[in-house]
Amino acid sequence: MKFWLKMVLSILVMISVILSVSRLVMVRQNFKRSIETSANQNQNQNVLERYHLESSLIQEIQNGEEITKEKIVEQVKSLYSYMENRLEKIALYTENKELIFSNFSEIETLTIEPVFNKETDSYCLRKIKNQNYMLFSEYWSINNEVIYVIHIYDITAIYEERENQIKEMMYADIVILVIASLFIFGFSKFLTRPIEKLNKASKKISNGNFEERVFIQTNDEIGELANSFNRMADEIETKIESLNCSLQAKDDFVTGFSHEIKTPMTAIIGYADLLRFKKCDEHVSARALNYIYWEAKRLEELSYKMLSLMELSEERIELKETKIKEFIEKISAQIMLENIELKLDLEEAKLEIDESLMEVVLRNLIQNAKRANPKDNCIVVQGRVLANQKYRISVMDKGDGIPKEHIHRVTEDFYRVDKSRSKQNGGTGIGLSLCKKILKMHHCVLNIESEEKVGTTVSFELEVKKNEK
Amino acid sequence: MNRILIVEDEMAIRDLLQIGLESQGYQCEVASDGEVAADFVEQKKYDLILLDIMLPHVDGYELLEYIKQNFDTPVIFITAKSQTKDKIKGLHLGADDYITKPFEMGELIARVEAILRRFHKTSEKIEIGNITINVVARTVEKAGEKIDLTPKEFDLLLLLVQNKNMALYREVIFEKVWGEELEFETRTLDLHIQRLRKKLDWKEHIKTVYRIGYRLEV
Repeated sequence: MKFWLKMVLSILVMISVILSVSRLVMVRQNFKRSIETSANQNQNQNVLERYHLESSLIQEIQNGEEITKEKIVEQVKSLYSYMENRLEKIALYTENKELIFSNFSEIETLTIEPVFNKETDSYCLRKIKNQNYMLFSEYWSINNEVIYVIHIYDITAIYEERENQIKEMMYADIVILVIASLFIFGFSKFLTRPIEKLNKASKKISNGNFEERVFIQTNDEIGELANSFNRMADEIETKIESLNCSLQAKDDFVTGFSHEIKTPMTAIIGYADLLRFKKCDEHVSARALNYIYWEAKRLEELSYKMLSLMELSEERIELKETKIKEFIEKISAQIMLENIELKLDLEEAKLEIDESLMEVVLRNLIQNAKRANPKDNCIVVQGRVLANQKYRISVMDKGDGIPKEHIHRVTEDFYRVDKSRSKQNGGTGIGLSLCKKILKMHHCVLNIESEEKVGTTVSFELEVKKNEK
Repeated sequence: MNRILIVEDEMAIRDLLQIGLESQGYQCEVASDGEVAADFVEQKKYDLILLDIMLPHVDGYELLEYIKQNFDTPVIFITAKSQTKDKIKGLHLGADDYITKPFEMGELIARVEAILRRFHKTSEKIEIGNITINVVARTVEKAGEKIDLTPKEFDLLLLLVQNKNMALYREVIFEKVWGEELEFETRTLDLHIQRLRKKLDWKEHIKTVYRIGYRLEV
């Protein structure tokens, strides 16, 4: 059952219970009061009648007549003869409860027994054929003869009044309940609407629509719930996103890695098979062997870089105080660049670096610059001491440059600007990724500025050792 | 003679494909990027195109769509992308076959032949002198008369025919026909060669090359 329906039903039940109990009490009180009023009235009437009867009997006595039972009956008859159409009836009984006289037509069916008593102000109620009566008894004792006078009042009107009251109240209650249920329905719908909103939103989220949010502007518990719900959804969305990202990165890495491995493998296996299967002529054999050699070299380079990457993930680094100018001059002398000139423009400073790792970084950056086909056949390595106790190393070329949309991705594993991964000029696609990781361990970042067809500057800033300079 | 276009940006693989296919008697042309390849396809007619997916300028998927929309040339993808979803994508776009790197030359050639046969670009029969070899039915006829060959003899004959006029190393012949390495000196290969020579009456065609192996001279 829906919550709003529960709310409506429970409130309706509550209202009807309260209404009916209060109605019951009210009707009962009213009825009791009506009966009492009627009894008082009837009592007065009785007293009046008795007085009347007594005075007429006294007159008889004064006239010297003897009072007998018959006399009394006669008097009573005459007294009540003009009351034929009144609501009061009368019945006379002997001491042995034998009916002497009655003008009440239903007297035979009346249960009189408990009425006979000597207290005149008590009454009892009887019901005959939907008519209600109020009975009073009187006790007369004359000349050792006892006569019971029973007054019978028709009080059906009071009962009818009660019935009417109950009916009217029922109608009123039904109207009240209908109006109340409309109001409560409206209220509960209004109150549960935010819950339905929340429900819809969570359904959407569970269907994978993670950007779904709820907008509920209330300061109550539901508003709070909506806020925490939104916070939860935010959290889930970021988690899912980062999961997807890492999954994508892993996927890219595997794709890149398998491509890097498979191409040289195919060439090596293919050429080797060719050579061992057929007796090829000198020219073909030489070409095949060349390919095998260079492709194997490529695999070797790749395996070295992969190993360095793996070692790096263990985060072992040996920092050593190094004179940077001397260091760069030493390693640049070892780098073969064929017909490209390497210009050094360095200031001296003492830095704390891991020499072998820094060598990997510089070699990679210089190789990359070379692959960009610098127009002036020149690569510049610049080293400057900066004002903020930093030393900036930049590797600059005037080559092809990197298209804008690729700059932020070039440090990803196996990412190549050229989608075809053309390796006319070598490279494995993990050089910059390696540099970035090494520099991160030196607590600095790789900064790449590039413009297509103009050139590229790759730089990073290292901390200068404090006690020097 | 079937003309094949090889589109591959890796020079080593491109040369390998060319050497392998030309030795089988195919006429090959090469293109190193998608744009050049599209020009070639437009200008000349090819029986088959071997296409790499990751190409500069125009990639293999785009080129495939272009080829399939304008020509009815069969295309085989050759690529390092070995995931099932890549294969499905390639085949959905209309590639006739999909070969993943690293591939074996033998398998590549077999697939090339299968595709050419399917497109009726090549006959199922190879004729050398008065000998007719039906590659699909695996039967051999000499001057219209059927010759019974064992399966191994047939495979050996096919290998020699497909590499005619070339000296083949006996260890590798054994490996390719019997599928296992020649570990010790066995006479099996020589025996089969002798049976072939006798059955086909090819004493002067199947030559023994000293210290190397055998060569079919036609």
